Amino acid sequence: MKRILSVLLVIALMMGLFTGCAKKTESTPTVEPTTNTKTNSEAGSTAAGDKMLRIAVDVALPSADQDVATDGLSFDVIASMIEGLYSLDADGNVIPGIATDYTVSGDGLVYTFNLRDAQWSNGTSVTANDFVYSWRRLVDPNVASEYSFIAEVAGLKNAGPVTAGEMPLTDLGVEAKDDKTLVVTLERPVPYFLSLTAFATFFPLNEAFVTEMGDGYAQSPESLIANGPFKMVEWNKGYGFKLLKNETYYDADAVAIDGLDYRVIKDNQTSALKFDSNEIDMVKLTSELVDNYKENPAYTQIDASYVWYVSMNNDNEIFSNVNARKALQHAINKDNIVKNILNDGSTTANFIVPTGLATGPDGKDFRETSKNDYGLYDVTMAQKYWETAKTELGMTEVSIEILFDDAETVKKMAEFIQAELETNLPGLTVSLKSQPKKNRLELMRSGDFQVGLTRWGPDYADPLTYLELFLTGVTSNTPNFSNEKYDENIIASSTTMAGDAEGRWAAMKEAEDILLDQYAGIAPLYQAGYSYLINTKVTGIEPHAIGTPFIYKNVKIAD
Amino acid sequence: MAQLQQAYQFERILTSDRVQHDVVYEGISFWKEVFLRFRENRGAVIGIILIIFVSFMAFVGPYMNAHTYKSKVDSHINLPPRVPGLEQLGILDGERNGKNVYEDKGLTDIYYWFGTDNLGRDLWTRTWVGTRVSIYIALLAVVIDMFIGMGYGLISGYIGGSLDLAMQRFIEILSGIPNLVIVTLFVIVLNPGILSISLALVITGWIGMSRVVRSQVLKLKELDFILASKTMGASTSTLILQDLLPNIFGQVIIMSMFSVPNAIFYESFLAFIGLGLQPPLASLGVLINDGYKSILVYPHIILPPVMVLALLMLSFNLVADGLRDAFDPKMKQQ
Amino acid sequence: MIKYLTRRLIIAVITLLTIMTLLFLLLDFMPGSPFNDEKLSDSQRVLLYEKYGLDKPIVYRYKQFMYHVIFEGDFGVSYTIEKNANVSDMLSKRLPLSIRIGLQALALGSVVGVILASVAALKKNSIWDTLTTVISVIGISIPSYVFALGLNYFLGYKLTKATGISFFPLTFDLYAPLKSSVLPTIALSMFVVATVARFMRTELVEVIGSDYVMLAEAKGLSANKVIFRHSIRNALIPVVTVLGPLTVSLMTGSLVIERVFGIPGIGDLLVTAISVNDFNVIIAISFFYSIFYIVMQLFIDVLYGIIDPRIRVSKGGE
Repeated sequence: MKRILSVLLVIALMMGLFTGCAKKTESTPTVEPTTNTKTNSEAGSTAAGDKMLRIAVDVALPSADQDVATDGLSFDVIASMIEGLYSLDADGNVIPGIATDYTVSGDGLVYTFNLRDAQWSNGTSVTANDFVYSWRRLVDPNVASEYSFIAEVAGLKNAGPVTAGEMPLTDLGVEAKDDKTLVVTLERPVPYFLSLTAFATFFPLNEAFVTEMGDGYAQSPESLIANGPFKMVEWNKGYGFKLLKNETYYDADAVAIDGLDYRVIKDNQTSALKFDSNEIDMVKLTSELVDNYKENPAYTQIDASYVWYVSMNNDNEIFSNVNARKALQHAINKDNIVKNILNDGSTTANFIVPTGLATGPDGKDFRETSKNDYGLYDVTMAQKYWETAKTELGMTEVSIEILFDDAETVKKMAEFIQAELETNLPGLTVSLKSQPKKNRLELMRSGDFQVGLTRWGPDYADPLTYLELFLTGVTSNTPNFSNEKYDENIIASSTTMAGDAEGRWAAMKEAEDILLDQYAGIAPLYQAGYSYLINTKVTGIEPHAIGTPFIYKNVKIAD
Repeated sequence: MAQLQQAYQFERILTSDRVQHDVVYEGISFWKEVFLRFRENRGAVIGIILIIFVSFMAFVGPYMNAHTYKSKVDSHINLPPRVPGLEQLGILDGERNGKNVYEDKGLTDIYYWFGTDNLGRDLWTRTWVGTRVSIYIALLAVVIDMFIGMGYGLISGYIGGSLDLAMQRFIEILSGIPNLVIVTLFVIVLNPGILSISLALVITGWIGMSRVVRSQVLKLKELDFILASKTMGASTSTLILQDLLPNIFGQVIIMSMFSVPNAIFYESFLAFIGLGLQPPLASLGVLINDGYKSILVYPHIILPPVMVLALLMLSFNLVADGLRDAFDPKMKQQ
Repeated sequence: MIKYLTRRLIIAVITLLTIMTLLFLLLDFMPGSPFNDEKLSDSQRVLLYEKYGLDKPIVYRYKQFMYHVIFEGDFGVSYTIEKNANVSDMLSKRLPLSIRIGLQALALGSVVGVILASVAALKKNSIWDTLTTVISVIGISIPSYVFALGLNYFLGYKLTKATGISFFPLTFDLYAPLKSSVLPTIALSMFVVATVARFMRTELVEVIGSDYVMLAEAKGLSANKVIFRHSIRNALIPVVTVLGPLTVSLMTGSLVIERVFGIPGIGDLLVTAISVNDFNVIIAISFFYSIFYIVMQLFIDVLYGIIDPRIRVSKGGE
């Protein structure tokens, strides 16, 4: 008894000790939610009568400013708040947004858009000048938008020189004829121009509002306005944010839910448990967890357009040899990468231009009408090339190093590729070099690597978004692939042949063949797919492989 | 404790003069006595046996089957453990959720004692190979603690004054710079691997120990027996080595037992962000990290490394406690 | 004493400045850039560097940065994690949260740890003693994320499923911070329990066996008095030494706990910032960490003297 008493005294003493430290916290303000939409969060469910789509994401929202954002989540959120000239329907077709219709000149260079009567959430109306301001801001060297290259991709007149600061902003090929008429001048006909207007960087911005907010623009719900289906009402940095239906949206009647409720949870197992407890409606699964949910009705696979490939440094002693490159192309069992490691709906890639990216003049997908068997897994063929390569190089023992970054599935993939290569190519020793992504990119950009695992995602619905990557001397051309005929074909298909749909299609197919078959510049691995858990009551989430990953405007939640 | 001491006192009266001579005059018998006391401690002996067992397995385990730590079989992914003999008893029989995964795949005579990971690699081999790396890191952590940490703390605490002030500020500066930044910088100079991990540990691994030692020295150096030694003309090094050191051993050992798992997890944390061991080589920490990713789906992947680590830690602690008691100078006085 | 404190404070400022300077230099050598997007062209990266003034010579940038920090409390903006967000704003929400959960874990962990240590020391070599050792060994050898997820799975998920009542929310909730921080606090306190229990027990065993406690017992003082007045006080020194830095690291957030429980703290933020070269965020977090650490060191050195009046940190040994 006495001893128990003594123990209690000890505790009291210890507590006394720590009040010294505890006092420090009292001076710092405790966390209080920024707004008092308490009901939504606490109930957090449809039971409370409001239909919020609850989404778990694994990263804090990097930006809500369309000229600063570079990632999928930011583009999702921006596209939920702002609508551009055009939008995309569930199948990826272009549908009217703020523009009701357009006319295009005979040479395909001048687009005239007619805008509808639409309102920003602060009551001002959306005008043609909002587009002019936004597009100029995109290429403004002072803003230094990371996505400014897209203006050149869209073929906007003078986009290149304006971005580089060689011409004034006013020389950009966009002007407001009047409040409701926008005239866009292109440098060359761009077949995919219209679909680009559905991308966040081409959305309008209210000049008066953005200027008034200054540096604080898009940093809080108060410094954001919307003309689209939702508007942001709450943003607890690093914790989550909430968008509610925007009543001033011109098509507000079509929005069936009350809003979107995002919560940042970095541990995927926790978010999966949260889904199982019906505390969230939508979450992306990591590869490791897929096996638990394959039979679950909520399990949904979503196609994406990212293509992962092995970049072989063409300047390297070993991989300057085309047979060595071909050997590597054929030595990896890609089916097992997709099936065993990723397990999330990704598909083998025997090509560089992904499936479902672009539709040709014949109305068929690019892949449907081109070869699909580049770099097939074939050990015999790989070994044949490998023996030739070893003879040509005059080596019997070869050791190479694979560079990759620290993302979890990539590490697994690298370990897998290492084992495949060492087993299938006799005399080859493979070491692995894992680096943080920033180092990996830096090393690859500077050509300081032998073999690297990397990926590319599309910016627009045209094969060029991939093929331009391997033009001689382009920054992202990490293998440093260089081929005259290839360059000629690619440059022609965006310039001289821009108006000749069939001709450029053929030129691009030839280019892909040069890249993957004749010169084996890279070894494609897989086209990414994602696994999601989506509450079965929720319908109408529209995934898109290009541009905005998800459009939530037409989401419905059953009772 | 008090009872124990009484027992000792009681014994002393009964012992012959010979023993007393040994205790007082002959230095060698101190170590002998330490050894004897250590041997009498049942926990410590069990700890030693466990450590020998784990080390033995770390060296022999990887050769006990045909797999290597990096060989994979694509059709054997995510298999649960299956051990011949034991499977008749209904444990480790390759079942998951009531279904025998091996038989479903038609692998009737295949056995993986710890199962396989999601690349189809043998977890038995990987666990024991990983144990080697972790034992190395554990030893390294202890060595760093003993030499750098203890030395730094002894000097800082004993000499004191402005030297102490400067040395402690140096620690503050070291702690203030996130060591991830320093480790990332290593990676430019050296490639990630065992060398950069070792260096990363050398930089900051000893700080905790040096602070504990300093606090103990600060406390002890004002005591009478130090003054007595000084009066009798003991040199600084004698004071530190013979008077201070034995008295701080208890805390030193406990502290180094904390450094071990810290170092092991620090290593796996470095691997997690791409700065540690280069795959496919693995340590216990890396294996635990990998297993964690699919713990809700395939818990068998994380179990072996966690259990080996826990076993290792338990035995280290048992031995440490034994050592501490054996070295206790107050026991020596009896 | 006041003279000593003044001196220490002046030195503290110098230490802090040294840390900031060194860190600034080291970050300049970091490989990669804060602007890491695969699509970013070299020419556009040059523009971004100009925009944020990163193209200027390091001495100029250092002066600018220090000027803004010292006179305006402005750490600049985040380049990558929350693009263009003011770093001070980012931390003003996250730091209090990390401190709060850290202190909760510290309080819980110390109480449990001291209880375990006292029981173990009083009943040395009993089953309770062994149990304490086992608990603390488990506490340090099972990784905290496994423990955290285990708590979440059994108490957060299974228990809720079984009973239909959510006693412990799966993730932290800004609107119900107390209830939803129970699990993270327990998970985080595991290490504290282990630390306190081990160090305190070792020291208590030694103190209880020492001559003056035996003397006190022999004088007929009650066990309570012996332990409280003589033993605990003497056993506190190593505990305080270890707990000080531990407190600082608890208050500056735990990567693992924050990830598992969805807490927007600064532990995860720092690691993310380092991996993407978000320089200003790294410096700002290190700044606060250093202040905590330096203050804690000073506090501990003063505390030594209070716990054991014979100790004089301020004076030399000779």
